[in-house]
Amino acid sequence: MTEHTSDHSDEQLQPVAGLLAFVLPGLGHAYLGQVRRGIFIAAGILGLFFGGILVAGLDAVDSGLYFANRIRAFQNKPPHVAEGGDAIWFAGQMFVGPVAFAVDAVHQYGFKIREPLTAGPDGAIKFRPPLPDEARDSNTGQTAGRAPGNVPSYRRAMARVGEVGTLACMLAGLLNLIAIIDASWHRPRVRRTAGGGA
Amino acid sequence: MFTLAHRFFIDPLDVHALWWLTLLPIALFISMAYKAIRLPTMDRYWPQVASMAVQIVLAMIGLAAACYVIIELFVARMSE
Repeated sequence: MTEHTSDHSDEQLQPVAGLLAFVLPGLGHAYLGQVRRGIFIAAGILGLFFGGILVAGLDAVDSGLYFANRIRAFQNKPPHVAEGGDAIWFAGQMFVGPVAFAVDAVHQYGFKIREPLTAGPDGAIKFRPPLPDEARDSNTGQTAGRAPGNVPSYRRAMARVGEVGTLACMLAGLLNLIAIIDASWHRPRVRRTAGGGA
Repeated sequence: MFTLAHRFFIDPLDVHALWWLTLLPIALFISMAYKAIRLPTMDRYWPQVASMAVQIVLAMIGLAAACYVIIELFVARMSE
């Protein structure tokens, strides 16, 4: 098994491992020949991330369209408006990698209510969480009206439950940041042999 | 705690009365990830994970007790 040692003299920059660690938690260490270590890193970080979503629901991950609006500004398009976003928390959560961005995109575009603000295909849209008794039209994404008994596309997390879920997802991101740094500055990759392995 | 209509990973769990229990799996997952990154060898991985998780939980209990003492005793006396 390939292991860490107290001797750091043979460590060097490993950009591929660092990139892979960002793409999927644990993948950077697996690439460096430490498959078992990578599996435990993935289990810890993804367990924390999806555990947070299990507790607080989709509301735990909400970038407030921060990155989408940066891209729209680059394209000279008006910014979308996002209600209920937690861009500060997402600054930590994003280090989980594409998984965090995918969950955020599903939340923004698949579950929030759309309210067009300006006309045209590139017009600005307001994305907001549904009210407790507000249904969402799954085709247009716009509101289907409020009425008693309507089931919203998702429910917002409140109080401690929301805080714990959001915090767990952010801690997952910060732990993966440590894993990215560790994989980025590491001993060279060790290939598995017939008699050994990670 | 949840109904048949509950949608896991979409709606929040109704665990408002027991939210503090969520600290236990959080401590475990944090320990799993951190120890996997930092341990020189993986020989004593699970004992190290258990040790760190227990330390986190005990530290949380200690912080909660300290906050309780400050707020319920000192602040209450100061306001008298």
